[in-house]
Amino acid sequence: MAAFGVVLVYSIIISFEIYPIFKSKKKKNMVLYLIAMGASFIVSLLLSLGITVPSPVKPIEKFITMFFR
Amino acid sequence: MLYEGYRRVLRLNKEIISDKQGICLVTMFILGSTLLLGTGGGIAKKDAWLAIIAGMVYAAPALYIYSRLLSKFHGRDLFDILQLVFGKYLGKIISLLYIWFAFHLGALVERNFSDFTETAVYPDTPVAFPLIFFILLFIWGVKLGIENLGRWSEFYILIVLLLIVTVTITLSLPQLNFNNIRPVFYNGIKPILHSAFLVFSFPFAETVVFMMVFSSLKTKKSSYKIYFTGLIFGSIIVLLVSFRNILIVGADSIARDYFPSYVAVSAIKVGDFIQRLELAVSTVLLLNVFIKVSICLLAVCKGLEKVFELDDYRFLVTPMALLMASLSIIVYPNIMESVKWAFKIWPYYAFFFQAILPLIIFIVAEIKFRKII
Repeated sequence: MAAFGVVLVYSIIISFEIYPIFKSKKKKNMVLYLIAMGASFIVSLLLSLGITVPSPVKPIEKFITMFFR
Repeated sequence: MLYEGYRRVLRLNKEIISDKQGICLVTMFILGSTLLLGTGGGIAKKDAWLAIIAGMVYAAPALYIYSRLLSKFHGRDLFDILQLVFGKYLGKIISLLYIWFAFHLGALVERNFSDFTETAVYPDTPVAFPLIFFILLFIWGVKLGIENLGRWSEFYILIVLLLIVTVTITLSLPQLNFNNIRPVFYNGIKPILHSAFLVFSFPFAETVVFMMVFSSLKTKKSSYKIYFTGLIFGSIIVLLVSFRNILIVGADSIARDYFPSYVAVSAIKVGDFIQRLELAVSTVLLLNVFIKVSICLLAVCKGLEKVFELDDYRFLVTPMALLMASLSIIVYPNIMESVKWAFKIWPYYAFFFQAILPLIIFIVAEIKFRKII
């Protein structure tokens, strides 16, 4: 159910925002927008399906504790 | 359409913020989530107020470096400065590091906000739900630009001051117990200095993010005025709030609670009718967190604009805001981890971005661009 909501909300947002970018005919803007939106869509979908996504700050934590503990 | 409208506004008049708006932004940014979480991690115990003063003294040289760089390259932001000083490629790599820093900071502040809503306000609501409505506001605010945020903060800082200074501090006067801060220097100077380092890196030197958005100041002297007046205002309010918390609930309880301000304000009771003032704490938190996350989001989008050489940052705001919210949910499994990060790991990690890198940029810039004053 939550996953369905995520898909719905993302498709609404993308359909609102993609037209002006498409119209401006800038390929770089389009690629960047789709990459960023795709990444956040995948993370939200995984979260809504109840899958634990590994935290990206764990390596930083290990690095810091190695030097300051 | 709406997007085209933003771009037309951008082309017609360059965004400029006045000194007063800048000061309000810096003050609200420093207050940020500090008023809720407290500073110093409870290491200095009764002398936490001394640690805040020492932290302010630590922060002054760092803020001098930030404002010196902004004034030397007037009209440019950190990403332009990096590319000027280190050349195109190294400059872009360091820019990406700073973008990550702003992104991470924004996610942490959102995380503090959702921890607060989950533990104290709405225990049964899913974490993402209050966040969704907040994200819509961030997107709206950041798309309208820094000038709008400046005007917003100029107005709302009055509400913050009214709620903190006149309501909670005045009404808590009957509850104050001055034995809670005596004896001064009981544990010696060492915990105070350690705690001052945490205070330096948690609210004060986080203002390094403003280097990434302040490309629109009025004069060359504005940056000094904005940074130092903001620091003084911000630290006075943090000091007052920390005094109030220690005097009401005592140092041990502050070290134990996740949200000391919330506990301290809930003790206020004047007569039978003025009580349950925790709402004031939540309101102040909401207003300050809005500014803090918006500035971080703006810094991320402006940085991506400079690194990828785009003509406008506004189309990137929505995906970045959503990505930041996702990161804020996956970044820690629970609130204990989040508080541990804020006081045990964040200071050492942020020190690199707040002091070491700016110092390197400052030295190289002073040598390379000797002729620009």
